[in-house]
Amino acid sequence: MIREEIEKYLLQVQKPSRYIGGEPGSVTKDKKNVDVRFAFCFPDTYDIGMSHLGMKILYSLINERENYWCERVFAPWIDFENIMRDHDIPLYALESLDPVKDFDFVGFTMQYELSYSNVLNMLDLAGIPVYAKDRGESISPIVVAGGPCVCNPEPFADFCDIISVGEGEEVTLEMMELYEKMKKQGATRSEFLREAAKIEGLYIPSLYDISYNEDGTIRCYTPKDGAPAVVRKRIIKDFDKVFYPKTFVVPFTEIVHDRASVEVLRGCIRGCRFCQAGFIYRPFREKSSAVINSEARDLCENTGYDELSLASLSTSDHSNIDSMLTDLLEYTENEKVNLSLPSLRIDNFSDALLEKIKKVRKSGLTFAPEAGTQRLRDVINKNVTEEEIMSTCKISFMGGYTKVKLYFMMGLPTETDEDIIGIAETAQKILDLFYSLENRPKGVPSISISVATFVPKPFTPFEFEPQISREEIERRQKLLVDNITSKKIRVSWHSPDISILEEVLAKGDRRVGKALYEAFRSGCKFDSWSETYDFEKWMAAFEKCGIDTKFYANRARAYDEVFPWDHLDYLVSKEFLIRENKKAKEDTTTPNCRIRCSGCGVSKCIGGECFD
Amino acid sequence: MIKLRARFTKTDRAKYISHLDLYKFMQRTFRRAHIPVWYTEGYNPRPYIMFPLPLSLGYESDCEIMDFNITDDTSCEEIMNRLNAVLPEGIRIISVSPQQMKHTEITKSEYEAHFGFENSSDAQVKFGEFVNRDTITVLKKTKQKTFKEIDLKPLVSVIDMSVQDGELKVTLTMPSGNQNNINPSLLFDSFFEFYGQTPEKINIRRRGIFAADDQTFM
Repeated sequence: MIREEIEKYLLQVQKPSRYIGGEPGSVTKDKKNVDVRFAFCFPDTYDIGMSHLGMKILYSLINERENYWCERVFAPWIDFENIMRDHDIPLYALESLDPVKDFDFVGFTMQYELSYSNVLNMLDLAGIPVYAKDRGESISPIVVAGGPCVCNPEPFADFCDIISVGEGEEVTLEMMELYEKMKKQGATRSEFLREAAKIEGLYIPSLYDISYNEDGTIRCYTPKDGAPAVVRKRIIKDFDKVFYPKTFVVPFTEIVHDRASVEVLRGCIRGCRFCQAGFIYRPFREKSSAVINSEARDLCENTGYDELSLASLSTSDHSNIDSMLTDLLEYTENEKVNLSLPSLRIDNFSDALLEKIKKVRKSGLTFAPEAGTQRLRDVINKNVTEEEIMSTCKISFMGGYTKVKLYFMMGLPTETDEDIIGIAETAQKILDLFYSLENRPKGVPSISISVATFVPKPFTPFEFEPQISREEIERRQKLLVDNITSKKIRVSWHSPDISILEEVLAKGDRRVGKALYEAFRSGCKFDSWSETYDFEKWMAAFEKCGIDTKFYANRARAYDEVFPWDHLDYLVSKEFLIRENKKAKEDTTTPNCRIRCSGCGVSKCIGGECFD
Repeated sequence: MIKLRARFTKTDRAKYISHLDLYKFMQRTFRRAHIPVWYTEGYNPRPYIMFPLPLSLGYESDCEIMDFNITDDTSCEEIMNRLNAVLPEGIRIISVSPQQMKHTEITKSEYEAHFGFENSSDAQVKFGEFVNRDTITVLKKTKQKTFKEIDLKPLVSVIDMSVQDGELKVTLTMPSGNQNNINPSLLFDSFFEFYGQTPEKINIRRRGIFAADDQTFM
């Protein structure tokens, strides 16, 4: 039994409770009564994966079915992986402690490109052939992947049997039902995959032939065996009725987001042109205030959490934000629950509500202007004015805060040196504002600026744009530092090495998969962790496979180029993205979806208006 | 406000919950069980739940102690039942009662250890030799993170040694509490070194916590 083996070594590793399961809220079932077993894998550590809301939703959803059993799997940290490999302990699931390779489905949620190498490593650790083509004709295990990252699954496609496109609440069960039926009939893997291709939202990479032009771009995708030419993403129509868990698995050890969390809305009305989430999660849907409140109560009562958070891309865009928060605050104050409110704009609240929110917001204030000048903010359609930035900072300084954190991006399309200097100037103005206030709080102000290198992503108006070169990233970083004149302003950024890899994997085609495999074989894993990321190994893998990273990362694409993700339909039309790209280059903004429909194509697909 | 003391087991998967994580774990358990636990006063009120005697990570126990206060008159039995209804595998409340002793009265703990050596009869003989020496000198980490030599001989009291199911079983007591607290792993690790073998399987379980005159701590 694996359990006995694990327990021999658990006390030799960091945070052993991550590897043994048994937490309150975890679901165990009698295998005799289970027809389909699903290993839900998060390709990063327990601490990170356990914080992920999508996993909690699908875990509960599948386990609601008496004869289906969903279990959790995370990537073991290096110390434990070494022990597992030394002692032939295969990757196992936390509930039954059974080997992952004995499951019917092995599902991965892909939240960021830098977790691809971990998926290959986990498959290997499980003893499952890493390439889908090597898995034979036995129907199990089926390797399926979903999540925002797979909106361009191509670099990753050769390793998956199925890619689940869009929202998983409905299609996951449809896929499992089909499997249950066909397994009983003794179907083979390829028979099952051919049938699965008929379910909307399931993309079977092996059912497409790809041909390329001489310049290396894609000529076309040709479906075979009856697979659809275009796979359309799934969405949940009635968001008030969508399944939401009544409890979470509550970890023994501290995780990144250790709290109850209610999803208040999905999608975003803002249309910021750099933001992939803002496009691929359309249309905007929200839960009613009553549903949010009842879900919050259930979760707090059943988990025992004394902290509650609201999850969304922009909570302030909820149409009843004032009354929703007023009700919620009444409950949380009575029950001594801390409410944390990320993604919140505080400029349009009533004074009474603002007073209450001030009481619960203890941490410092973060704000994302994204760009340093109004011109560039118009280009990226981040509809925030300098006036708004200053008034928000003023409100928070008057409320007693002395720390402000600002997020910016560097390398945005049309960016000039003036825009970079604008970042420094914005920070200086906020600092000056602090000292100009007569009733400013005591203490030394601190403005910290976090600058990310822009990674143009598929399904955004900037999918056509190149990433700036490494030399240019470094030049602009130096320019920014040279223009900071106060010690009270601190600048930090990620290494450009990481952004370069992110871009190649985000926009790569199926040929990039070879390099991904090579990188995994040479030991790349946990690429989002600075202590384990090895850029040299990655570059060696690209070189060995004859992959030119500049072709993927630093090349401007024509509007009529066929992209590796064009056969996936995220409801947002390419015509719309081209239109938005052109408007960006004319410094023209697009109003948010509530003010005016910009004709992105989503409303046509859902058969009606996005808003009443 | 009523001061109460619960005794609970910590076994199976729950033995990997660290002492630091135990507070949060129990805090959430009280919330799930709807028990009106008393909050500390002051700037940052938090539920008052206290574990007077830490248990090493990986040890099992039949008798852990948790002190807490409640703000109404819910009966001890009711509290025990409600907690048990929401606790996971490995943690069971075995009693809830008013606090009879102060934690400063704790003097020692009894432990039962099982070791899977290749030849347990041989290990038993060697363990006898090991503890019957005139001194058992080991290095103990001090609070200043330096090491200090101590002699365990006058501190340990071996109650029983035997071979059970092919494993060496040792029962002994060691000083516990805030006067002098000795982790039995100090003794066992020193024995593994003396014997030149580390067992593949180790299971150590606290069996009892005592006050003066071998009275069970209540």
